[in-house]
Amino acid sequence: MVKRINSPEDLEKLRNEIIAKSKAEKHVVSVCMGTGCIALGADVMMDALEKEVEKHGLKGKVEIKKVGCVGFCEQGPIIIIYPEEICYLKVKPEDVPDIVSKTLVEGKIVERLVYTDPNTGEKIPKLGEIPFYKHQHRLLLANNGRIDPRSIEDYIAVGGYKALAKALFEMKPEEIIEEIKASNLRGRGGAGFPTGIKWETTRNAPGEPKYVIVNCDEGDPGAFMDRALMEGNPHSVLEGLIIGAYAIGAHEGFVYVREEYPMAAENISLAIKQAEEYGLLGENIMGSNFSFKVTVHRGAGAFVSGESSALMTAIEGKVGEPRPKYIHTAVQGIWNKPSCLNNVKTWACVPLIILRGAEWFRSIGTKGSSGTMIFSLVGKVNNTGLVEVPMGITLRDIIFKIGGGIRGGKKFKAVQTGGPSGGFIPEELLDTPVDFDELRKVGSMMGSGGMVVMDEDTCMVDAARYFVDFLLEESCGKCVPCREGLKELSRILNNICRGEGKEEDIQLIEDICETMSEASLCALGRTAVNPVLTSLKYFREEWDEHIKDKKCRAKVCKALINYYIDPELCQACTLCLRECPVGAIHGDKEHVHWIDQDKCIKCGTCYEVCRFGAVKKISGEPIPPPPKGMKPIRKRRE
Amino acid sequence: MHKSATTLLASSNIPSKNEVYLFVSKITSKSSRNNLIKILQAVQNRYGYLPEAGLKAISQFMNIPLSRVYGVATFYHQFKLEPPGRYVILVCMGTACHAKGNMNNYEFLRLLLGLDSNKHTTEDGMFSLESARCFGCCSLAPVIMIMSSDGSYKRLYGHVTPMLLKKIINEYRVKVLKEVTIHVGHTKRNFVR
Repeated sequence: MVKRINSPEDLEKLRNEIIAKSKAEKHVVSVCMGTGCIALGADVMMDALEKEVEKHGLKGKVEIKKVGCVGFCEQGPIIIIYPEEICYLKVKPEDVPDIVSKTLVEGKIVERLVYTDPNTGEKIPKLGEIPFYKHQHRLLLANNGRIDPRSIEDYIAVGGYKALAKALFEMKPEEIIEEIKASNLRGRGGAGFPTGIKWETTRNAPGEPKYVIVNCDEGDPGAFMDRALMEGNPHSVLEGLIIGAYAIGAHEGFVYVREEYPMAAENISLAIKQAEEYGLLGENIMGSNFSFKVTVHRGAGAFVSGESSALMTAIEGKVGEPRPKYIHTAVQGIWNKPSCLNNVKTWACVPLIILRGAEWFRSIGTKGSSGTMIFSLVGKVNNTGLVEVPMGITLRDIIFKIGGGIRGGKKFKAVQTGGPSGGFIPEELLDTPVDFDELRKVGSMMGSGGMVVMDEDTCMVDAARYFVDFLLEESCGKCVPCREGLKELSRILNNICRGEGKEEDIQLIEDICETMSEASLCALGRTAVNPVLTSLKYFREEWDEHIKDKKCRAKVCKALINYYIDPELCQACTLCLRECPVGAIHGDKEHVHWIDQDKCIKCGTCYEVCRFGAVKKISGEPIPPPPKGMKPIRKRRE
Repeated sequence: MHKSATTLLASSNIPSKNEVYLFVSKITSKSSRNNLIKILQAVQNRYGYLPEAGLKAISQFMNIPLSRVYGVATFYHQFKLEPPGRYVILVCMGTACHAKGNMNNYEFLRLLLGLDSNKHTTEDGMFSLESARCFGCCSLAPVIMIMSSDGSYKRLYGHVTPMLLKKIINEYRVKVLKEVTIHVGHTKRNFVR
């Protein structure tokens, strides 16, 4: 039975005990157990590690920790060994014996598992010195990788719940709100509404009870920072939520977790249970007069449920449709009671601000947007993963310094920020500083922090079509501009991608977009036009090529491309012939292959399997006719 | 032999209205606030999908119109009104996966499994194919997830290509046949890990 914490002194005592206990162990081995690393086999590697440590009789000397996502997902599975902070990447079960016998026993570094700078070839064993991490400023993610998300004691050891003690025993609710206002913390969900003002509105709104809500319905495709925080450090979110509830005067809270994140729901549920056992949640928190309870609500899969009013109706058990917000949800939310909803990252910022002060928080970032922001940097960059940077850093720094540039030496084309509500930003605007206001100026938005990098192989018309189709599926259908507008946009864009576009389509698209952005009920419809408009604005020539020349320069739009085997390069290996799912390839071991264009379904399997680069994609040009008769191969010169 | 084993998969027993009613009354007696979404989630967890009789039972139990239950059940992606295959293949349609060609993979799978836009489950009941919303594993794009219909088994595959998919599907075919033949033969040995 755990002893309940009944005062701030109890908490400090417990913290000292935990720290004293952990000092006995020399090494801590953190194994990333994020969803990404598990997919790459971290769980199997973990078993091997546990066995190997036991075999060497190191039990008691080495602590193995299952930690949350450390963000460098590209290089998973990842192991970090403290206190040296040695970072091993792409660790397989067969690497484990070396790690244990060399590093843990002899203190040497296993060179082959260490990060190698692709430009200089230099080996960088220390986590903090890898360029991907070096240029980051990790506040919210600082403890991902150090603590076991399923252990409240780990969180307490790194100073957890200290801010809660300070808030409950040294500050009045009004003082907390003033502090948050002074910190200039803005909603991390994307819109950037000042958090302090939202809290004050709910506090002053008439009606009891009041509710606080964590929005972890991270629906933006390409974004996963909320997942990483919920999976990797759920207590930090919970602590922020409790402080917020105390400041606002709420006694009940909800955590809304989307359906696709089972591990996040599991970890936050466990965190709630632990906090209750320790007296940090429930009746008379830490011996104060304040009581607060939290329930986890699993979403059922609807993008629009990430919108605040829709999320609240979903918690009520209804169809998650947004409502007009003449009256803010902060005043009338769940069951028409004042409800304060914030994003996961916003709540996680709160303990830091309370503990270190508003001034410190304001010193990071820009004047209009303080603090840090987490981006999930994905797409065609070398280093994909989670990136926490101070606001105001340029897109160029994120993509090229941290992200390590474009994969495979290709050319950068655009970066898409803010998910389906954001826009495409072209190369000439790469020096735009990243904050709420600057991104909006170039036609995009911060959104919840997705950042998808696109290279010359991405078709901008297809990318716009993708977002429109995504939103068409996700629109709740309540208001006409969004429902019908998206339907028409989708029809037109699909036509263009099929090579059936007309020149007057562009004007029609612009008209529909204008209506949607003015007249839609919620942000889903209003911002749905951003990807289309920015794509049109910055990449107009690609649209014209699709419409006039029936050409897709990125060779993505299926209707506009053809596969073709270069007879000069084909070595008649029969690989493509055997792999073609529809039997469209003709030829034999002696003769060059050719593709029957009538049969070809353009699946790209032949393109992928060809070892000689003989299969080509062509667009906007005539297909060379198949060789007459059987053409013998021209052997490649050795 | 294989045929008889796999047809077994397809014939799932459809629960009756009474059965679902009993199940719902059992799970809701504990919580004071009866939330329709939570009940639907529980029923789907139990049966793998929402049978028609189940929707009727819920409507009766909660004393709300069937149309409202149906409305919620069709609004959210999670709810299925048809029984899924033994293994559900979810193809991620997130931005990063899209940019890296997952649509192609999806169409390849459709072809490989002999499905079309109206048919999502294979004839033998072995696989269902679904497009899914972002899993948040964008670093490994393109990504697919294969899960058993009861959700007890889940595995994510990153950096998939048509070639790799072919291999994966074959592995699962072997796996299912083993599971089923063991089931038919009443042996207790557990082949599947």
